[in-house]
Amino acid sequence: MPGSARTPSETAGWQPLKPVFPGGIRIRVAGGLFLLVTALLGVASLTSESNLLFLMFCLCVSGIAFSVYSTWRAARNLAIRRLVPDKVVVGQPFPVRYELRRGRRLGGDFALEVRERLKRGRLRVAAGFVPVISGRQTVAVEVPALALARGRLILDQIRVSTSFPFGLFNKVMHAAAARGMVAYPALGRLRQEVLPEAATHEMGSAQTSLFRRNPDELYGLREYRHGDNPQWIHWRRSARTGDLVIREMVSPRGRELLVVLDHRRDADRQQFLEDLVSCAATLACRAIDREMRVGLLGLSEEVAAVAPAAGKRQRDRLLLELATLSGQPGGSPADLIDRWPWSPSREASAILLTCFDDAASDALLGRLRRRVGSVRMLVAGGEQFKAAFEPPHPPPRWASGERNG
Amino acid sequence: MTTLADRHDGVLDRLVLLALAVASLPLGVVEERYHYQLIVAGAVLFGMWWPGFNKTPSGMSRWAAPRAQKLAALVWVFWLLFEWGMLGRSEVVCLGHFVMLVGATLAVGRRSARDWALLMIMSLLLLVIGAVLSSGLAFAGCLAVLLFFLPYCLMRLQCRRGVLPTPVSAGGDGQASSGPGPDAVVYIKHPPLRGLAGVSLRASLGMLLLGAGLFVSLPRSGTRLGGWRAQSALALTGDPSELTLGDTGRIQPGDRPVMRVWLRHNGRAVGPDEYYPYLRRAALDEYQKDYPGVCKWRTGKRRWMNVQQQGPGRAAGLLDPPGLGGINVDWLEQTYEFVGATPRSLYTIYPALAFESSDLSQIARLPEDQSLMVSGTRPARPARYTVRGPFQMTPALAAVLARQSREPLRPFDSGWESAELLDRVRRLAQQVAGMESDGGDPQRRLLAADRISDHLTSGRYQYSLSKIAPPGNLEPMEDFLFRRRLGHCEYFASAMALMCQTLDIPARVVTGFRGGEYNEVGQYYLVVESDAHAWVEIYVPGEDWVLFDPTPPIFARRPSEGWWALLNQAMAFLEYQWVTRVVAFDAQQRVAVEILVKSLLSEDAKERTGFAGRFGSALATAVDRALPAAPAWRWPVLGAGVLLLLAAAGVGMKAVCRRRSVPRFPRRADAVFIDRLLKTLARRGHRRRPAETARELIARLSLPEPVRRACESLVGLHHAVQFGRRSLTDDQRRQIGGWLRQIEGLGLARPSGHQVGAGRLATPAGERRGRPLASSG
Repeated sequence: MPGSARTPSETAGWQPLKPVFPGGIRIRVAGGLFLLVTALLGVASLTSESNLLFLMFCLCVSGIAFSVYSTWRAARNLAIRRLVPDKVVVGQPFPVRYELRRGRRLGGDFALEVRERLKRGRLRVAAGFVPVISGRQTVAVEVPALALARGRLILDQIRVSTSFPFGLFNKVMHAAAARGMVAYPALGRLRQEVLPEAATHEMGSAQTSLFRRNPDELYGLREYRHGDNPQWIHWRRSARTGDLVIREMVSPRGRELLVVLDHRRDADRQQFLEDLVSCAATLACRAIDREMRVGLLGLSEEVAAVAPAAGKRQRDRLLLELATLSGQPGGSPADLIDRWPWSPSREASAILLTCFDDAASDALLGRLRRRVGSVRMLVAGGEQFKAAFEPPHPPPRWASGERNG
Repeated sequence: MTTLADRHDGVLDRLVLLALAVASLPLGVVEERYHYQLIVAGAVLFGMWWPGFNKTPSGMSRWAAPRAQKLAALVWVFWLLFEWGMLGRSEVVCLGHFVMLVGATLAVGRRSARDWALLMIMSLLLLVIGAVLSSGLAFAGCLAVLLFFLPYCLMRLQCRRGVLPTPVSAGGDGQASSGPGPDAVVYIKHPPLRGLAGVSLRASLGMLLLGAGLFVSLPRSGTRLGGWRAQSALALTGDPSELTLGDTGRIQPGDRPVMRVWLRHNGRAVGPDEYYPYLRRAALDEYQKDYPGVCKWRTGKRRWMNVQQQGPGRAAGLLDPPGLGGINVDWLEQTYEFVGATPRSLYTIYPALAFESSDLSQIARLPEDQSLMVSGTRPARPARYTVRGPFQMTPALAAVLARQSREPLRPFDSGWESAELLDRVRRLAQQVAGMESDGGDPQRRLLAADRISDHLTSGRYQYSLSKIAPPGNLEPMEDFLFRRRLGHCEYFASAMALMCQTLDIPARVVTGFRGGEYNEVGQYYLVVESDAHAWVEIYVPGEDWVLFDPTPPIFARRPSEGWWALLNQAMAFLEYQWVTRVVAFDAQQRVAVEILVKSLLSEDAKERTGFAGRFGSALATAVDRALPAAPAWRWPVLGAGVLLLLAAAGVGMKAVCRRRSVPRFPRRADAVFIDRLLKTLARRGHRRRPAETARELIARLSLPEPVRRACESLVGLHHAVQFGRRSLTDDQRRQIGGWLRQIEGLGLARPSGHQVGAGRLATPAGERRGRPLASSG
């Protein structure tokens, strides 16, 4: 399952942190306020020559000096790396792990805030916070992240800032650590049974497998014939009967499901297109969970096709294809149906997902019915679609721009 | 925005509230309006209770809290306008009240980090207001507390600002580990509170040193030294520890100097240039009118004395009222004359811009600072000297002084003395003295004065500080001598002077100060307002003026004893040091600090005198004993040694701080079962690696399937309890017990290569209890 931080795809990639601008220190609002108060104190003390005001003024100045010095010394000789999964799912939080490594032996750095410098839109990453890193430690912090849109996402620059000790000044460091990932479409929920009966396994011809370990099931026993793999001889039964008996295995063959996606782009129906993609992904995942063989046919200007197959790899292939699918202003999808790169079986089922309830869709439905056994059409926004599919939930509160912590 | 009310503990809340209460102290103490402090104390108590209440805000509190806060802010604004406009208080006081009340409101409200920052700045402003109004030890205490407290608060705030209330994921069990290797990863999800203490302590010390250095190095004109109270206080306190020059010796506790004070302004006498023949009706009446609202000496409160208040009586009440808006004049001349209660007495005074004396041999000066007088011989006769000091003149005072300078007092010239009264007094004096006249005989004069003094102190007349208003047109002396027989020292002195003069004995009333409390800690006399006194001097041919004190001895202050007195003296000494070293730090003291530094750095430090000289001399002597070598290389060696010591101290402190700074996430009471699991695993040789979480440990180990399932269930429950803030149900407790018994009872195979220590059991406990399971994972 994508989203696991325990299997980081990145094992190296330490990047040194450098100041964003020379010195890296900038004044915060609280610092400006404090400077103003200190200046007023200085004026008052110089005017009145009151020693107590002088004392307060000197302590404020020393506080500012200490704050500048501490902030300037903070976060030096730090390196950072980011560990993120290769594949994430839209709407499902995934962890982003930052590891900060400190090169200096003495002292410590406090209150480090780790943020991603992101362009707006497709990805939200919460700010990470490291209260302390001392000595030559390596400190890890995991923050939740959320992909808001499917497709290929880029994490570009990491920013580390600290306002320690007093919050008057801020030091900002950055590290260029570009990293790409794929955001799979968000998965919704199927409200009613739209998938064909998946429990009926199609039995292929009984045969012996060439490999000892395989997912096949035992079909029966028969006499050994020349050419059979001797590894499959059932020695116990052979000893009992006196003749060589061999196991006969069969590999279950799931029902074939074809998800046909009419993803022509329409400005008014952009959200419908995302719902269609999400529905297609949900259908594909649920079908593969039921051990069905699932294929994908995306019909727009170009044909995006994935041949039917089963298994986790097929699911990844399907999700990757759906993630990168983009709506194109194509012509009639029915004209593209003949450009299938493979021939579906007659027993296969197909689900046509489209945003348009027009003649082109009807033509496409007719073409499909001639090629596969059964076809069901779901029009995004239609009653059938709403009854069959529940779109994914909106992103959580913290992903809507609210600051974390 | 995550509010601090959501935090785990309210330590920060409580500490900041405490800071607010501490910062409000100077205002309350100076203004003596303690109900504001009661309000703040109530707010503090409420604020301590509030975070716990607000942790699970109900609908009502969520609705009421922000509205109550806004309402309170409106009320405080109207209170500010009312106090300023209607009650006519000064703007500084009104602003102080406003800041304090708004701060208290913020403190009990639902707070965010920004609110806390605002509160910190308000505390600072409050301290500034306290600095304007107060110069005593209360301000120093508050400043010290805030100096060491505010950095810690702010650092904690910074370190808590980004911490989530609960861990984000199962990246760790929240238990940070110490001492990892270079490749280990430490998960820290909570602020290093204990580690911050050392950092903030170093920050506070650094800020204090830097601030002190700035404070000393800032140039000053030296003419305005803080508040005027401090100026006059300095003019009346001496430091006997400096009195070691010449043959004077130290002041002994038995030496009780009597000091007379009068004023000259810009060279002109602004008060009676002579002694009082006796206190007149006007002076006594003004005393009745002016003193009760100004002087605090009836309460016996120790307070720095104001010279001007104790000068000529009519000026007494006009110097102190705040808000007059002073103007600065060049100097005020103060003349002092000492008459010892013992044959030899002495007194010192500083700082002073200039001074004059008829006999400079009685007064010595520091060679480094010509205006600093530190010593004097013990005069056999009254010594007089004049000091010109900085002074802040108010228009009201200037008017009073000008009026007084135009109206010199003369005895028996105002016409109120009736012949009938004088005859009555004379008869009484003759009756008491037992003679009609002394006849010019000194012995008879002394005898008459003794008898009159004894008569007044014999108990027939009572001492009282209560307000005494004579009825009708009755003269105060007549009321005191013949009717009520109740009064204070000025009545007694005036009565004796009047009685003596009716016997043709030259007598005069002297006002000034008597006694003072000897501070054993600082070895100096502290003369306070309650030491103000009046007495009588009789001129005796051949013996000059002889002092008589006709006031009953009830006036004499009994010296306090015991540890409480010692504590009081220590506090008074601290306040004295604060006032002299900080509040009144001026150009002369700045020069003295420079001299001290130069003396410490110079080779001929031992040649110098004073504190700098003694310190430098002691240092040079110590170096001579330790390094009896040529001076060419001993100073580098000494410097290297000092650097080495500093480095060792730094390393030691670092080690201590590192050891103490190991953060530990507070374990919830329900989650302690994870320790039992980890101990059980450790007993079987499956120890946790540094920085390894419990979940990672379970994943790493090859455990039998039932044990693994039990372990994973326990770790999952631990996460839910520790970080999810959930409570265990009874079923879960029973399950936990079952799982732990299952893990402990089944036993685990030791990892390969594990060796049992020599002093431990050769057979693991699990193998003794049951059959070790083969690893099936």
